[in-house]
Amino acid sequence: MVMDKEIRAYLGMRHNLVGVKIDSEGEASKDKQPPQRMRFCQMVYEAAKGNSFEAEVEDYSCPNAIITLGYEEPVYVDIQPRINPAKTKVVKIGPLDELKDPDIVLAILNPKQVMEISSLLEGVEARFKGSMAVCGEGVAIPYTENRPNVTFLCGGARTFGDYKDSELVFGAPAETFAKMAEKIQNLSKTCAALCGCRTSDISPHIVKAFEKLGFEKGTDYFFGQVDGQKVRIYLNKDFGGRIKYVTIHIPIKGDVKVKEPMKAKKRGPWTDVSVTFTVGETLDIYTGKGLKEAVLDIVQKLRESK
Amino acid sequence: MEYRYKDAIIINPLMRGGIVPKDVQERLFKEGWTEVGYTLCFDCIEGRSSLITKPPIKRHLEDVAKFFGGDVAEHTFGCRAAQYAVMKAAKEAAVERKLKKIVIADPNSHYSTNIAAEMAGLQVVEPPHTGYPEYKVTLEAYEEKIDAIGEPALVMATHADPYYGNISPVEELGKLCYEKEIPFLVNAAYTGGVMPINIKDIKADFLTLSAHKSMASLAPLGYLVTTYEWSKRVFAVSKAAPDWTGRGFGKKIPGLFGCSVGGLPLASSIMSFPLVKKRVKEWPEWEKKINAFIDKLEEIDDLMLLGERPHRHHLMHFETPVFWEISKHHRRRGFFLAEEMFRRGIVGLHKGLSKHVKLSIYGLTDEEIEKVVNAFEEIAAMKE
Amino acid sequence: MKETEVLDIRGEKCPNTFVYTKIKLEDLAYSGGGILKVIVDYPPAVENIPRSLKTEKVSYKLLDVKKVDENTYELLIEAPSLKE
Repeated sequence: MVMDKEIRAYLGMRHNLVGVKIDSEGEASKDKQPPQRMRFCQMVYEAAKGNSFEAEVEDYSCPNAIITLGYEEPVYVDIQPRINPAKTKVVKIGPLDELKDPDIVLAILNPKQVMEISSLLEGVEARFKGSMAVCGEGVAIPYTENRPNVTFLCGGARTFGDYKDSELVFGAPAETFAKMAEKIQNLSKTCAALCGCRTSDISPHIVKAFEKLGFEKGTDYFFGQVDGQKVRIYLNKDFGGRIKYVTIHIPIKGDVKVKEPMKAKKRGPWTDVSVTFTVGETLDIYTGKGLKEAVLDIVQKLRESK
Repeated sequence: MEYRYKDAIIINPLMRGGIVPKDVQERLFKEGWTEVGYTLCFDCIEGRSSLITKPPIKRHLEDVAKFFGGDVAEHTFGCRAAQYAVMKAAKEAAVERKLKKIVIADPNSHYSTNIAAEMAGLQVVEPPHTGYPEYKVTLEAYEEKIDAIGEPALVMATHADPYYGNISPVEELGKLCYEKEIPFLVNAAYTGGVMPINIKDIKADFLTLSAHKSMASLAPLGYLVTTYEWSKRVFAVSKAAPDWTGRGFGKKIPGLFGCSVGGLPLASSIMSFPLVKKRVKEWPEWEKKINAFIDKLEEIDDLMLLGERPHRHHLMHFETPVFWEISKHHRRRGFFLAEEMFRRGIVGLHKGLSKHVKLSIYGLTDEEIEKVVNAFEEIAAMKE
Repeated sequence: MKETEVLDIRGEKCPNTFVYTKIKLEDLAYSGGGILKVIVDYPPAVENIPRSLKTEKVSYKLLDVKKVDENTYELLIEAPSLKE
């Protein structure tokens, strides 16, 4: 799966991503059943190293996973998190590029990699308490709540699972990983502008705000069409590199006379009509507030002066 | 493996100055210079290709140094390697003289400038450019930055920048750096070999060149031209002394990774150099042709040149909203433009981009230039 | 039914809860058998211990599970005699 490659390369992951599929029917294929009872977290670590498993209820040596993964209902105490109602028959665990249509994907990561993932996803709200971790916090929570989670593992995983002290598990629905892979691809695409390098440090929030107004980013400025007029918006930086002004440019072929605050500068066959605003007074580049009005106003004034 | 672009008109602005003349291509092949990667090394005595006298590499490097107004030249694995050698030397000097480990480099510098600085352990600080639509770098911006920094290890300017083809104020900057005693590097990757540049005239300490960008040569090959004063440091030979064998590498230059290219690229550059020297004299005519081309292209819909005008370099960057509009409805999206050009026998536009194009017509015949104009006209007419 | 011994492992979590229970049950079995009262305050252990017992070779018998307060549970487990 391309997704696996993309994400592993981006994060610099040592292990395979692990796919987990929860099946409520069928049975485990004999050649994939664990050779002896194992913990779920152990199987995950083994899968991260390249092995595949299909596990039924008898294959587990840790009964917590039997409840969290929804094989059986608890008898005495309700335990959370768990896949509820308990209809699971087989759980398939394997390297992501070998497992078809996984429900949940797990990644064994170090804290820095979790940081990178969380910034890619613009935040992950994690819930963990050091118990029933890989099975419950890593699979049951993402499965039942359809969202990513981070687990710091539990005593069982740390004792029997082979996990290193520096390793955590990030679990999320497969779609989250697909989204992540797409974002990673886009990151490398936006870098492809002109010479294979980033041409500006305009933040994605600003780009988004401009896109909402119908503008698209060029090299280091924005293109758009307002009221039939093609408009460019350039964000001027001060000496220290902070965006301080917004300049609206409307290049027009031929001679144009304009009134203040518009300026006209002749360049070859073009007259570059422009107006500069200070960011913050009435314009907010992070939300786009006031921008459309300002552009519309200028386009209208320009039309009147023509 | 198939080379699809054999007979196409190349308009990639990074390539136009590097196109190897047909007769040189033939000579390289016929005379056997393509046989092995070391065809220039058989008569090497001293253990460094730049010291070889047969074929006359040493004399060629003296020629190169003289042509660009320097005292000493070495050939390098590309311009980036030359920039790295300069940055490394400037960093060492800065450490000795307790200067800031900073290089003030123009905001339109090539990525390799920044990578070279990173490798050498220098931080890049940029004077601001004037922004849309001209993106000019002024002497005042440099002055202000130098004053703010204090004593940087190096000031560098990209003679013609790779984004807009603007010419940096290198004469004024050279004077300023000379007065302030700051080492000054000019990266002439896009100019040296196409238009005149002379480091004695501009009082620069270093000139870096790209043979495959601007000196009609095969890649990878660059040159570093410097003064006697700096050559001692930049081209200082190895002092490495491995402990057990007791070997020594006294002819090798660590800043250039020991010994540089000894094969095809250097052979091609030596053969092309007479032509390069001649064509530089013809530059004023090209400047006229380029500005006439800009006028023609700007007659097409809303194509507009970014960067300075009159234009003083052959790299042109046009804003092309009309192609962007077409791309929005085109099945091939942003790729349509490069593909439509290729259908007309023209290659070298950056694939996938339609809002901006960078191109060059340097060295094309009048007929070919007309073909390029016509292609743009036809494609712009695809607008619904 | 009165317990022979009490194992108070409040504060412990899995997998220790079962590890300690198992050790204590084996002690009891080899010293003639009896009833062990295990006190835990980690709810998953209440599910975990009885299930884990089933996978043991020795046939321990779960007699009772009682909730004492909010999080505290008592499990009564009978160990057979393995004394020779």
